[in-house]
Amino acid sequence: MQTVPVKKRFPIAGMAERRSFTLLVSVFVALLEFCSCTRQVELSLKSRRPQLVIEAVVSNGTLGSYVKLSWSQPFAVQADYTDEANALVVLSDSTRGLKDTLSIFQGTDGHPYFRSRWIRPITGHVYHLKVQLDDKEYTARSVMPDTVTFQGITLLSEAGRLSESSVFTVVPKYVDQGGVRNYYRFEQYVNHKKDPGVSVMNDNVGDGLMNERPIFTKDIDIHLGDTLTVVMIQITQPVYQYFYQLSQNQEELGATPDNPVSNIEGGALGYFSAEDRQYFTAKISDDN
Amino acid sequence: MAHRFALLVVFVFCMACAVSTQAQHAARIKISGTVRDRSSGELLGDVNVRYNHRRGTLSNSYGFFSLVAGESPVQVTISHVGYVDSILPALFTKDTVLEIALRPAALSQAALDSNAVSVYARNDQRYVASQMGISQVDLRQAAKLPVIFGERDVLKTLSLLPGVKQSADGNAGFYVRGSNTGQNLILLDEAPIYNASHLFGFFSTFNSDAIKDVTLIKGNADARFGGRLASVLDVHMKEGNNQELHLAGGIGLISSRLSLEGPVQKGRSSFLITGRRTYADLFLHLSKDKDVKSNSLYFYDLNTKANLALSPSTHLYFSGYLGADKLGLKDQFMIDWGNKVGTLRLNSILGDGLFSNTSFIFSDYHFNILLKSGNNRFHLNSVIRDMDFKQDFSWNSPVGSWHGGLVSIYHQFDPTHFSGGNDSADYTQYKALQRGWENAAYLSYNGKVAARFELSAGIRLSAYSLLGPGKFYKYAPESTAPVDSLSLSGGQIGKTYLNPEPRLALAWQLNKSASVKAAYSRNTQHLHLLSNSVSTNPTDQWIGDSYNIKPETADQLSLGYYRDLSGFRLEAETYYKWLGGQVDYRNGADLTTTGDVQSQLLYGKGRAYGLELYFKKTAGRLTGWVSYTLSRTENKIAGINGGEWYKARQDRPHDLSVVALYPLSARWEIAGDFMIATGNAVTFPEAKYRLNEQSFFYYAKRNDYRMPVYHRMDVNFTLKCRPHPHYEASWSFGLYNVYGRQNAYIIQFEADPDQPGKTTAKQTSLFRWVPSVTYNFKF
Repeated sequence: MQTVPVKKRFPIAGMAERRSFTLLVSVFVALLEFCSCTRQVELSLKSRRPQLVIEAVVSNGTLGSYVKLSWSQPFAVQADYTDEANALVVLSDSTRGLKDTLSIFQGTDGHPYFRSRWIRPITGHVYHLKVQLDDKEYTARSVMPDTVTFQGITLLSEAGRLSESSVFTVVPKYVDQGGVRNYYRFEQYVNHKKDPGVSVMNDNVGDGLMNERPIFTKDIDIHLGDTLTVVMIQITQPVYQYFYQLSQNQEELGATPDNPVSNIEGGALGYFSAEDRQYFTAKISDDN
Repeated sequence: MAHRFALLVVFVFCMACAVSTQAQHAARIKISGTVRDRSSGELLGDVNVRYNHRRGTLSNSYGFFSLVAGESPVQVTISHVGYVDSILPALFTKDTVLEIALRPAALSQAALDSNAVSVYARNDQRYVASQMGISQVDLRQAAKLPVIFGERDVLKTLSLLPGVKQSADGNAGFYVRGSNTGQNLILLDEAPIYNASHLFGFFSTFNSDAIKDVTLIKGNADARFGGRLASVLDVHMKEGNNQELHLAGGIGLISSRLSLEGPVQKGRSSFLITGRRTYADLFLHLSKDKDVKSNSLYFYDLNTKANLALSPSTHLYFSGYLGADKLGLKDQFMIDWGNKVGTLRLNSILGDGLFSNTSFIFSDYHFNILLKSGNNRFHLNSVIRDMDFKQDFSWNSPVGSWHGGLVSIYHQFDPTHFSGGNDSADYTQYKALQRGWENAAYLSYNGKVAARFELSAGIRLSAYSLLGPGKFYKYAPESTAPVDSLSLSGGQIGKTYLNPEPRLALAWQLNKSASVKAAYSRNTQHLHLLSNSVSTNPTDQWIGDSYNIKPETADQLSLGYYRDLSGFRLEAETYYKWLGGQVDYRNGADLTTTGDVQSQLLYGKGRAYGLELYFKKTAGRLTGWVSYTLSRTENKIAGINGGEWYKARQDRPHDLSVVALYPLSARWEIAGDFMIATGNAVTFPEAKYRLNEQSFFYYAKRNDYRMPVYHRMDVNFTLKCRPHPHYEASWSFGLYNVYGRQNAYIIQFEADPDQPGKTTAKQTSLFRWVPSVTYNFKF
């Protein structure tokens, strides 16, 4: 594992888009905090019939290519989600003419999942998903996007003296591919715990240039001495749009929330993504 | 009983009519002129000018009136709320232009305040105007009402009126009859204000010291006004005292105000300069922490006005407004936004009851976000800039009054885009400026068609043309990819939308104290406010009509009943509004970095209907009003909520406000308000699911749930300082949200990261028990 020295810079580096503004609103709301308060409330929400949730990925990540099936549940139910292990799941690479019927495995988190032995992500290849369950069929298609190298991260902090309470923000370093639409998703793990913030980027700004935009954590602050893992996932446009909607739903004062549009046919929730994952892990130190 | 001595009349010049005209119309005498406040020289609008005990006319917002008497000699009587009724001490036998100075009902402001109520009651029986849906804000009363942080704010007072709703707790944004905030035409001395709020909507841009009068017209404005669907908020700045120099101000918890006014040429020309600035950041400077010290957080307003009498019948006015917000964090992050507006106006009395008002207007709204990190320096900004020319003629003929005119506006939009970078890379997004040319011509008539029947009819023809240069894309609702494009060269006129807008209002006087009115109006809106946020944001952007965006339209039908009882007034109005060309954004829209924001938009229609009841007590020691609105607002937009009708966020079926003012003694006065309203329509999740080892929420129909009921009571005490020969002063002590109701500002849904499937709903409330104290003075 590497150590990443800290640069004393302000956190809101780069083109922070919506988030910079949300942050600003938060600053203002913080100023008003003496007259605001938050409390838990009980709401009477209607119940919806459970729906199948499909998380299907063709990836070079640690789990390889996999499909996770579970059921949605009403808001009021506070138990863990119900997994689905009795489906027929087929992944295929139509460019290579390869088909794989996935078999079920028990995950380290205790949840079963379907894992592929043969399907691997190759740029430009077209992948298909088929899930059969109780006479219903769900299908999807995804084309593996181009990839660029994840070079590492820069850490930014507020100006001034660094201390244990200093909070850091990550700027992932990569050079975007010019002239091509690229979409990125990031996950951050602080001391091996995943931050729930959904973070996506496109290249509307800075096409073909080194990225200067930070990614923010939602719940977990990054401090000196923490071990940080950043996962850069290159995704397709429909999957970007899916996660962009999820990220908007996480905004406190954002737009009216709505369900993301799934690229899976047949009425399931979730997405099918052919994607490239690159990892960068470092311990944060104040060496310089 | 009228007070002859109360009047100062200057016979400026008498115009002898042509002999032949005199011979033909010996009995017809035209009386015109202007009406001012005698002590300050301010022009007075809505002054009742009668002749020979007949109903005459009202002065317009520039203090101008004109009437034609069918008999000779003519005796003229003037009356106005808060002023002494006056009979002019002369009988007129030929056409005459008058400059009239009315004396306030009591000489000192202190005495005026204490007896304002009885004066108001005596003058309240105004003749029935056919226009409806009009609310005039009583600024003296508004000054005594409790407001958050003690910051007097006319926009917040509006939400206590029927049909008007505050956008959020403590917010100056407002919705009129179910429409959104971008559908209100906010005019400051005729210049449009594109963002009338400071500090994310918690304060309005209107400094109460600079404001002379405020009128809200809820969708039934006459043909002179156009360009927005829901309402016209017509704000006029004071002209400045043309008699003597005055200094006034106020010191509050959040901001301080100072205004200076006085004559340029005594009795003829005057100026006014008022300023307001918040000083939260000055406290930041007191901090020992360097980082805190270098933050900035303030807003300011600067209003200026000057008027110059070029001749007795020609006046030149200049009004200017400059306001800005600045929030900065240690020179690394800065956001500033603000309006710059200026109006140059020429008022001329052309004779024969003809009055001309020519205006040149400039309006500019911008926001800019600066982000600095290391060698990088980025901006996110947007600008909307207008240049307007307006020519309005009004003519008071023997059979009624006429308005006619032209409006031409050149709009320029700089769409929200990023710019900047570092020494080696440029991240600037090049988005083309967009240009539009808006034109309108109108003609309206207002007059009596029968003994008890008043009619107001008008037509406005509005046009909007897209101007080159530029490349324009067309989109289909199902995709964000363009389906077609075309190019325009510099100055070339592209798509033009032409919309006729008929307006009609009828009033029928049932008896001495009761009347019914009916009105229909069509309004068209060519500029559209894009906002994908639930709060008022300075980054919300305006966009004009295009090949994709068609004009928004509203057809409003309303019916009203009005009754004056002794010391009370009852108003009941119902309305139904059909809305077309409504603009919304797609789910998952990115309005900031997308190359062409039009690819993110969807279109549809809306409907709004309701009943508004207003019961006002105008006489006695206790005054105030009760206002209740029952309403519904819905939208139907292809691509949202499965194309089904859904409630608009601002749909609040029940809305009740109670306002009361009571003088406790000669010096103390208490004012309070209470309001209760249905919560906003909101979208809540009905299910949840797991993806990537975390919980996400599933939303059913849009805006199918409600925030909890909103209610609140505020109170304010005003203490007048002891009378002093050289100055007046008062203290204002307020408490916002007296019983500390935790009104829901937002409700968020959270998942427990350690217990899969466990979720909670959390409500955040702002503003419990906000006390305030303000000191006001006037020299």
